[in-house]
Amino acid sequence: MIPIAYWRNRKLYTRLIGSRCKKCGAEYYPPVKVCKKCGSTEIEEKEMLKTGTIVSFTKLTEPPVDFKDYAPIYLAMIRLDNGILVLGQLADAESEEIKIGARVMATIRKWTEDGQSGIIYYGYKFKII
Amino acid sequence: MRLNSAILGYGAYVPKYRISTEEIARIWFGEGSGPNRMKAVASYDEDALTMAYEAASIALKMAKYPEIEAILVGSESKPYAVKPMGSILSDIFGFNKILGVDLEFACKGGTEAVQMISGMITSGVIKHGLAIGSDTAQGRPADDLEYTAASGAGAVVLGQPNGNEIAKITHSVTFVTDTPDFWRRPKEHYPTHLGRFTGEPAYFTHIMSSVKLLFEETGYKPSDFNYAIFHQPNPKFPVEVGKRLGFTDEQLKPGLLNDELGNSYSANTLVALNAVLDVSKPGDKILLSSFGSGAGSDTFVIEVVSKPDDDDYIPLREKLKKYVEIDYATYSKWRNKIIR
Repeated sequence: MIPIAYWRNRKLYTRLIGSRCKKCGAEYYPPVKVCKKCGSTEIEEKEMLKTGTIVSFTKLTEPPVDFKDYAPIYLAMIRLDNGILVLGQLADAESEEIKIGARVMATIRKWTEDGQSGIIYYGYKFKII
Repeated sequence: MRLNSAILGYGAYVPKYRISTEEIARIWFGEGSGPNRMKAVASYDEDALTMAYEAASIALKMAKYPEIEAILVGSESKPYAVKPMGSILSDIFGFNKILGVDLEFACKGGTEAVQMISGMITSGVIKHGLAIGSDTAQGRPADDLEYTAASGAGAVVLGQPNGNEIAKITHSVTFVTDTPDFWRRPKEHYPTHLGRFTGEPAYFTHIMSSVKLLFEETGYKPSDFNYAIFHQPNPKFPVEVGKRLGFTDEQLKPGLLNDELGNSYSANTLVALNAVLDVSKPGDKILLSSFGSGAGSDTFVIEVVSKPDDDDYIPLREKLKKYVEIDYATYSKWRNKIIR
């Protein structure tokens, strides 16, 4: 991960800031500049709801290099309660409780870090409630 | 000092994972256990900042998200040596016109935050502030501290009293001396302590001096309080200091958590306060006294005004029923005790 890119996108990663079309009300995450439904460019920031439901999930036993110490990790597609679909890691998840339809809530966890002296990358993960 | 601040919301976060002290003793001594049964262990992706976020989220929701003007975080296990948690949390919560600072005084950083924000509110400098204590406490492998050094966070949202608050903070005192009971030098991963020396000249002297100072200033006596919370480095000390000061088991019991959670350092007394506020009734008085090695003690008078107005709120002891026990190998990996 690159610190400056992370910093630019930190609102997306830590607050789930997406966007909302002022004209038709459609919501997006990640944010868009043009509404995909009505074509309007009148877009505002919108914080997504932090609760949702697992739509699908997978277990990664060979995750990318930044996450290899944390294997296995669980990735899930979450349908937030405002209808938006997001991809995220599951936190504190025991395999027997991970189910399609399980209710989750977004929290903040460490994603990864640049060694002992680099930046710590914090971002959302979902925990089962 | 007289204070006039109000607790508008409170929250505590205890990680899901526990290690038994029998498991720690098994690794180092083959048998036995520590003074407590278990301690709470942060997961591999948790640190003082993520736990502070969790506790503060509960407190902010209960307080109905007032405009926060100060975030003070007490911790001795900051994820960065230089780069405050206060600023990271301000960004995460979306409060940028704030004073965002970290504080350290061993186990009493959290109550320092409460005291300072209460002072700013009492003097009219700010209207709302967030005080947090959060730690992933580290004990050197095989050291006595390894049994108790635990993880957790506690938070309170403070504001001006208006009659609808959960509780009022009316008085606070601090007693501090230079006492070398426990310290950690720069770049050292684990603290050093002086064993039994930490009891009488440190813990007992400072808490008793602080509480007696408060009694002198206010005229209160132990029987004026419904509950008393003392810092809990182990299960025995808070009970012992309470008895020496004239408090009963009934006043102490609702806040005692060390046996199942260990010592979450800066979070310790704020987590206990959460457990006591969960069971207290309007009109109750709570005495809270923290202890920080080095050494000092902050003591507060807290008067309960009303129950929280938050339908989603789950009492702390209810949440603590759900936990997962881990072994020493997992604990070692997650808490960076393995050198590669």
